[in-house]
Amino acid sequence: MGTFFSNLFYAMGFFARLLGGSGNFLVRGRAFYRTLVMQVLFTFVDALGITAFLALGIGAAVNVIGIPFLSRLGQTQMIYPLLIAIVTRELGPLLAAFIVIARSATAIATEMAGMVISHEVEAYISVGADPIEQLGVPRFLGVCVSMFLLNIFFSIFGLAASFAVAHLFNPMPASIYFANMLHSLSLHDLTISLIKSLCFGMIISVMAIMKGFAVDRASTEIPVAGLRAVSSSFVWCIVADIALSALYYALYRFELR
Amino acid sequence: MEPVLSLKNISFGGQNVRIVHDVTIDFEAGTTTALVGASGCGKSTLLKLCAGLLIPTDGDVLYQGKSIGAMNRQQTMEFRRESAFVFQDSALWANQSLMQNLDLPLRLHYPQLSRAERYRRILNIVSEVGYKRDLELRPAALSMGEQKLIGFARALICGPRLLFLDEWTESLDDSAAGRLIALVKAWQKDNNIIVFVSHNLGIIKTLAQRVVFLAEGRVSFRLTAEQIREDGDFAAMLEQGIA
Repeated sequence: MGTFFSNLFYAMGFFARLLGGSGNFLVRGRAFYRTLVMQVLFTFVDALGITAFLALGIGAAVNVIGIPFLSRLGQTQMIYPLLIAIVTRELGPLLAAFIVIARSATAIATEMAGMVISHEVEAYISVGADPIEQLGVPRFLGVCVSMFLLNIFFSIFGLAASFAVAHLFNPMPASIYFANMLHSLSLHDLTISLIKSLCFGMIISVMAIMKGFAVDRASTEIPVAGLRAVSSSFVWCIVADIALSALYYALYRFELR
Repeated sequence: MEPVLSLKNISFGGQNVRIVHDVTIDFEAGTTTALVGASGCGKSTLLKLCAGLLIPTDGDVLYQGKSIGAMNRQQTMEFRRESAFVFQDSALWANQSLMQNLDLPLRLHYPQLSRAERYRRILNIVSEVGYKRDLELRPAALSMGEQKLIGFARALICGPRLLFLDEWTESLDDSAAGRLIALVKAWQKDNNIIVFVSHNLGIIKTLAQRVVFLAEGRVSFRLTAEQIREDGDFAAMLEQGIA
């Protein structure tokens, strides 16, 4: 239990260092914008294909499974809030996070671990560069920005895919479909979805960078760092998802009734 | 003479394994010290402790009377500008070009320099160490020896007063090693401090004014270079790598 809390406090301290470093980076880190851009390219742009594929599957599945049930209950209009709840608010941010964990958390943790083993991190210290600011912060910001954008992309693509499926079985004008969708979309849904994506981005990047830096000297520690980054990112993203969803339902429960 | 860098009873290691035990050494301006000992005796760890790359578990490392661990950001940057470390395995940043590897220390410590001035300084130092290929290459495209030259150039580019060299001539051919030895010899002037780890008796004899022998993380004894040159036994032990 003591170890759990000491690790938690260490992670919080590391997060605070990354947040503090982000301020410095934005002011004077122009030379490292390239790392930030590369991180966004890898985490967001390169992940668009798999994200589109997953969003298409989820959007289509909700429609295919949901419409027959709802029409039996005479509640076909409920498909819109259902889609918003699943694609935009609940599953979208979490699935986008899982994609980022599988692709970027492993990549960042193993890259950082490799740099520690090959003494590149010590070389940064020796020339007076702070490794957390030089290496951690651009990746932290890159993952957070990418996670935010990937979540928006997932929602848009999932809802559009759902329209394509709905149109297949029950042709309707896109304007009506999207007007109904917008009518069902509340600012709260949008806000919680974006907050979740930012939180997940922070958790994933902090875990990946921290686990990568935590290796000692053996190259066999590199894959272990990747594994630890993935498992702790999964756990903490799910914990954060439960906490944020519970907060959402607690705050807006009257509206749901 | 007042020491510029002092190790005060420093130890380093975990609960079960102590790599460095209670070492006290003073480094005065203008001195060159060789750290010598068998493999695994803690030479590289001690060198990193001297350079502030590792924090001692006990004791203190003082630079101009200030503890390196207690320095504020400005003092740390000053210490980093005045010190440089050449790593055993070069430790070039693999995801950056050689030019970027050499440019970062200049940008950090001399932000007022124009890009053209930085470029001029980089070309100068690269020519001094004898590297002749493209600077836009990544380190992975270089041989170990070439990486060593660039690692050396990166260490010297800001004109340090303290130079820490860890097995710095390994994997270099004789001509490249000779060039670097000549560079270090030139660096010995102007009250600079050089601390190096080497198993090469020729280099120790050429450069060192003092030799510190380590055994199992402790200073076993110290000699002046003259004493080493005079005493055939020590020279033989060094050559066998069991000092």
